[in-house]
Amino acid sequence: MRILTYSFETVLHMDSAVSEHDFVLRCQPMSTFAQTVLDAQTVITPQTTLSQQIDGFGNLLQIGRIESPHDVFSFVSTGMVVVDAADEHPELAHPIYKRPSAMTQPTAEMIAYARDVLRVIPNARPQAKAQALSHALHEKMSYTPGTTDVETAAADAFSQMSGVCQDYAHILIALLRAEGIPARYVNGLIVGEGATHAWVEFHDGVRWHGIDPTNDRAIDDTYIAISHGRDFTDCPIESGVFRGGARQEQLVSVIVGSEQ
Amino acid sequence: MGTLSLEKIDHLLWLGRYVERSYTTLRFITVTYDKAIDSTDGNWKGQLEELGFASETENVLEFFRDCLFNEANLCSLAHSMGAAYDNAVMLRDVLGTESLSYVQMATDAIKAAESSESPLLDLQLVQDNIMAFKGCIDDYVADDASRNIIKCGISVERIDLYARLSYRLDSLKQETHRLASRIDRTGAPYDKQAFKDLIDIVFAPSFPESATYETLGKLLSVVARIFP
Amino acid sequence: MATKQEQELDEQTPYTDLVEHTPKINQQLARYGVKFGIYKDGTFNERLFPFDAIPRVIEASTWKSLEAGLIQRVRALNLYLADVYGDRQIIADGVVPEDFAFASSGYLPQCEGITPPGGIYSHISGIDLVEGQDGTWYVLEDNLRIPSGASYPLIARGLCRRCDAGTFRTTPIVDNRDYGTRLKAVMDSVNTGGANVILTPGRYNAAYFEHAYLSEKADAILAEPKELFVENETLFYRDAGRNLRVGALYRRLSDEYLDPLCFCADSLIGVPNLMSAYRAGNVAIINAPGNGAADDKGIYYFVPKMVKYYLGEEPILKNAPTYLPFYPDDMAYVQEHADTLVIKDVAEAGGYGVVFGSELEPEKLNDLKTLIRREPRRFIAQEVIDFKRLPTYIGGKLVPRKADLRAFVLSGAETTVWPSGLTRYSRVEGSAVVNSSQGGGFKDTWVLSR
Repeated sequence: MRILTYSFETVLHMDSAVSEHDFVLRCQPMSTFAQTVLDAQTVITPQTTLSQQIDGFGNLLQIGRIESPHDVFSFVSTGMVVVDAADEHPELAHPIYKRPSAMTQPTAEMIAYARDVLRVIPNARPQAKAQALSHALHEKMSYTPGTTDVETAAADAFSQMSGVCQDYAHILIALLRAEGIPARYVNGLIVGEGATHAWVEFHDGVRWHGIDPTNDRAIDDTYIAISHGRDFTDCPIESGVFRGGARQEQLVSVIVGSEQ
Repeated sequence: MGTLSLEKIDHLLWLGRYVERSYTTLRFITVTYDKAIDSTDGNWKGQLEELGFASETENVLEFFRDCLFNEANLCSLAHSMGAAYDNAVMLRDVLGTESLSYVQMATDAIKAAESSESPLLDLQLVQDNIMAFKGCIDDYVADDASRNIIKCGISVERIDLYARLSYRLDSLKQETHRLASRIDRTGAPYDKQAFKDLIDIVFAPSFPESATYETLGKLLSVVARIFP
Repeated sequence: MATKQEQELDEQTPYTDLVEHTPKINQQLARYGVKFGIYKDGTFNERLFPFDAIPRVIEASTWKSLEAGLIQRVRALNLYLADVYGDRQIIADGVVPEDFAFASSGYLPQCEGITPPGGIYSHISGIDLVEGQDGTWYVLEDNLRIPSGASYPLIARGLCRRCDAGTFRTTPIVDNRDYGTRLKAVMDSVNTGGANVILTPGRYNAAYFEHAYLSEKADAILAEPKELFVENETLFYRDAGRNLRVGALYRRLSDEYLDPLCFCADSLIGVPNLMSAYRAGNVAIINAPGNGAADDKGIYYFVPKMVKYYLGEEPILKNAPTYLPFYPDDMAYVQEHADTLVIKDVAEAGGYGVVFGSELEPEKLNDLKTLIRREPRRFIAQEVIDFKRLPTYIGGKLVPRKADLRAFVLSGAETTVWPSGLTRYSRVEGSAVVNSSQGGGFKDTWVLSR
């Protein structure tokens, strides 16, 4: 158990003013078995009314509309969370997390790869399989920003063996599901990283466990989960549509720290 | 229904304009065609050039076919009626199927006339259907605002065409008067200053007797501004 | 001596008076713009939907049982939708395998946990039926997303009455011209407080005529996506003067294009955050998003089981005998009898992806069998039902043509069946593909009151 404070800011600069801007944010952590949110707030600029809803995956949505022209859009999410990755409460996995999703369709090579990695432990428990796959991926892939983008599917990132946390997560999800282990995509924050992060949760038949293939380690009390889904497309931190202009620049800063 | 989005208001207005443009264009073409039969001085295209018909051809039949049926020619009857249909088809819930059917039939009649031996005779059906459409919206379009917007469109188009052709300028007072009696009953946004300018021009004591090309040019630019 | 074909026609054709009026009625339909759009080689064309004046006639007693069967089926389908997006009891109880329930492309996890106003998912269900040679009716498909077609017999009926008053005076035909009123009643019954709006993708949609015509008949506002917006979890129609709240939205736009912030992010159409208004219970969406989970060609197999499971009743309507290659026994049967079966790709709609094994070259058939072995979940196979042909006036004479029936079941305050339906016939002799997009025509459907 650990108490974490976080401050997470995103600023979008548009190349010219936009209006009728509808958006959905998934930027505020929610209480789950593994984390309890003591305090959370989101501030939007330009100011507007926010509605809060829960989506079909169980994520907290903050929904709004800015009608008048603006060329900067920002949101700051701050708060305090008690994390406890070791929590043992059981929880069911929805069947959708067993099936390939749009961005996690495995290729024959990926299925063969997973089988190959696990050939020495074909009957191991999901935990051991997930660790083995994460470790193998971490060894094999090179972390290279710029070689993929947010729309890159697992299969493409796998064939080039490079990418960023989103790609590591998508590939691991595809491999786990190919092995019959339910898996889901998680967006969140980590102590010591200046940007948002993405990792994977797999279900061992009893509860969800987090694993971070980018860093090849199990999720511990330095991680705050924000949103989850079948893959990235289900749970982006920010999405919006507007009239006019185009996004030009996105600045993200994250500070996660301990109270002690 | 009494509920109209800006998109629907725009469709109603342009429906009125294009229906009127089709009607007047057809009448002008018919009259000019008749004159062309006797023409000896090479000026047989008459005022059609003012309406924007710029076809270079010196073949009389080819020229008139182009005016009537060439949809790619933005001044043609076929194009205007097609544009009227494009607006009307977005308005079935406002106009009703019965009114809409006359626009459909006028459009179909142009297509039928194109392959006819005597297109100008057959095009009578287009005029008939346009007149029936006008009567039908009077009887069947229950919503005052919608009906008035179409009629404003008709008036604006008529003022525009007559000024362009210096045709029946003495009737513009009456047409402007009609527009004035309807324009505030539409709920549609319009440029009040432009409308005031129109009244100032048309109701000036010297209009239309001493109207110059300059006056008419100004009138055209004012009319274009009324409904942005 | 009369041929077999002529005999068949004589027995079935009591209303030949209407035949001579067919061209005139079609002329009138053209006048009213009764068309459907079709994309061919990337360009949009509008086609008249050919009408055949000889109706399909359904006897009162037959209708009574069809009606009961249809209501029963749609009630079960609505319960299934509530279950699959809720507690998943039918899956836990092993009646519908998980692999089918959640593999369906129409199942949308974004709709999990949402209870639509009134608890109704499928407000307007288009159930496709055929009548076998022996008079048994079979359901071929349940269309629970945006089934179209009611407007065509609706507008044709008035014209037929005008040209043949005699037949209508002497035959007890139930009037079907109240479809608009019925649709309005459904919209009103789930309306959360606001206007009724029919949402069309626009005039270049195949069924645009229907969208526009139904909005006139149901006294609803016809709107394109750009005329709507959402603010504070509430859907508004952008009126020139003020913004008008929308309480019921009969959308004729597919799920994936409804809301770019919830479904297909690349979609340029749709109403951003429409789903937030829906989630908050501030607007009824007709039909509910996610209904594709129950009208998948694979789920179809399980509908009679749903009737038993949810209602504890014996299904009144039969499915066509269907095989799921997903089950090993069925796979074996399909592999052996593929040449006599009709094979359907569950992902395709509108008559696409339907293959008759008997029409394939041996080599093509083998390819298909291999494909089925490789992707068993993607296909279903059905026995070919030799369905009754209806007399149809083509090329100046009466000929028998295969025809199906799309019945419209409306669920609002209560579930009712519109006493009519769209009868579609194939223009091609022997063909069983009746979809308008494949060149078919339509007939009115007369339900007799006694």
